[in-house]
Amino acid sequence: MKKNIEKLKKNFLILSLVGIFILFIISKSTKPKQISICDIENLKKNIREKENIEIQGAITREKILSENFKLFILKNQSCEIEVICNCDTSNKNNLTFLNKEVLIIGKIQIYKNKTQIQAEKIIEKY
Amino acid sequence: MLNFVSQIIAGLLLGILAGTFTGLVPGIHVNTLAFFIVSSFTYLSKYFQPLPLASFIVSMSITHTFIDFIPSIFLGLPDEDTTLSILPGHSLLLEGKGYNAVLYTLYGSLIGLFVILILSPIFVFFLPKFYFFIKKFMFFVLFFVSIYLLIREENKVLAFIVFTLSGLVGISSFSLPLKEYLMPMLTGLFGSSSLIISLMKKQKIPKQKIHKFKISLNKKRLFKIISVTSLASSLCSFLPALGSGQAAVISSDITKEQNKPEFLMLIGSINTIVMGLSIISLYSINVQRTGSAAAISQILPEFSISHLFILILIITFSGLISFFVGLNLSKFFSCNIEKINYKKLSFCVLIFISLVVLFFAGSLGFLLFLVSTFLGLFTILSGARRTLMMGCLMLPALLWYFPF
Repeated sequence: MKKNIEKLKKNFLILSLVGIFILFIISKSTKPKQISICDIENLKKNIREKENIEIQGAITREKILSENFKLFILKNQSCEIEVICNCDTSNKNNLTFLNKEVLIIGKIQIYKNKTQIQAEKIIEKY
Repeated sequence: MLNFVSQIIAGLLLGILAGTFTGLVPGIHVNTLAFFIVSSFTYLSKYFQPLPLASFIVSMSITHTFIDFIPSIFLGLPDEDTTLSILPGHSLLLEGKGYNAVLYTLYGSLIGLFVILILSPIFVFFLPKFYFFIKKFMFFVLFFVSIYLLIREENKVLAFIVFTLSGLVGISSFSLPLKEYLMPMLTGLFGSSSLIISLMKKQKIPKQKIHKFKISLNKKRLFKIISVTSLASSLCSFLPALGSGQAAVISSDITKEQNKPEFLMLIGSINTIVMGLSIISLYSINVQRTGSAAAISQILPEFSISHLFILILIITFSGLISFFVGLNLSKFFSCNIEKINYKKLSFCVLIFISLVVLFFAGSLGFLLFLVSTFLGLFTILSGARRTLMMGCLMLPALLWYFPF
């Protein structure tokens, strides 16, 4: 009985290690590139179209553009960028990220010669 | 559309129903339902105002903390918050005292309710300054708590392995393209692994009796337990990556040599205090330490003192009603548990939670669930404490707050 339990323990440990390794490979292959706001103009040529990037900063302004679109101004150090969010804006009081430090995952887009981020995920940093 | 007061009452009562459901059914957590409310907010806001919806979430969350010890004790199915209850609770179950085991946790939760009411003004008026100070040292606070959890173990190497591997699961899952990663990870670590162990054991639950219930604690001892529990739970309700499990470990170490009833009351109270104070913390320092608090922050972005007052009333009433719901449910389980084929039930629940994970988190989430299950199984079979698996949240938090 004890031998069986020892064997099971060993097997579960090996399966966990293999599983964790696989999870890391998957997360690495899907992890977005981290860039800073100040470097975005220089680096955007190296970023593929529709490739996800990760960017951090504080949201200093918010504006509701239409029923499902919000515009944020994301600031880090002395640089700023516009972020478009396809968020539900029907609740007019839903200003949840103003003045908060956030991590944004999204894609770079050019609109009227201005570089913007189309946000897919906004995560508040505590 | 109902008037405002009727909506609040409806939120309270429906929340109790929902919390009873989430408490009894393994794999269904309050976070799942809370986020369902948030994602359906546009539709629900046509019929309900935001505060009644928030009341529903609060009522459900508090009820869950009263009821979730029932499956933990009677079925051996803990979640991450009730995992410490499994040994003393199951031991009482095997003595035919399952009902009494649940009762101790219910009284603990009831005491927790009063602690929340006493601590709320402190959280509202003093926590913002304290948090502003402690935020600068967050990494060190988490680091010392992590070290403490490791060094208190007899087998420190095993503890380190379990903590680190859980941490690696947490770090990898955070970066996965998954909308919902906490549910498959925590269900695998704490839920399905326990179920599989139950299936492996040849266990028959003895006939349960409803023994006369008495709490034989001296006042000094009770006061010590409540004080230490209140302090540990308060800290864990607003510090990141710390929750009921860690609060229970710290409290039980400080109060020392508890008997089973004392221990069950302790963890009962901790669960309720951590949940209740996480709602107060949302108001006072705008942090979202539980899924319920995060959902409320989305529904009530401008959280005022009048909202808080109503939610504190909801916490109180839902807790008081849930106590009696828990009493009756535990009587029902006690009278019927030995009629249940334990293995068949465990197997059905395992299939059910696997399907829930697959439905909500997809195939990648299911892979995460499997990996977490394997790690959970290794942890249980090695005899390591299950709370070490909270490294899945603590290690990522340490990296997040790393100051250098």
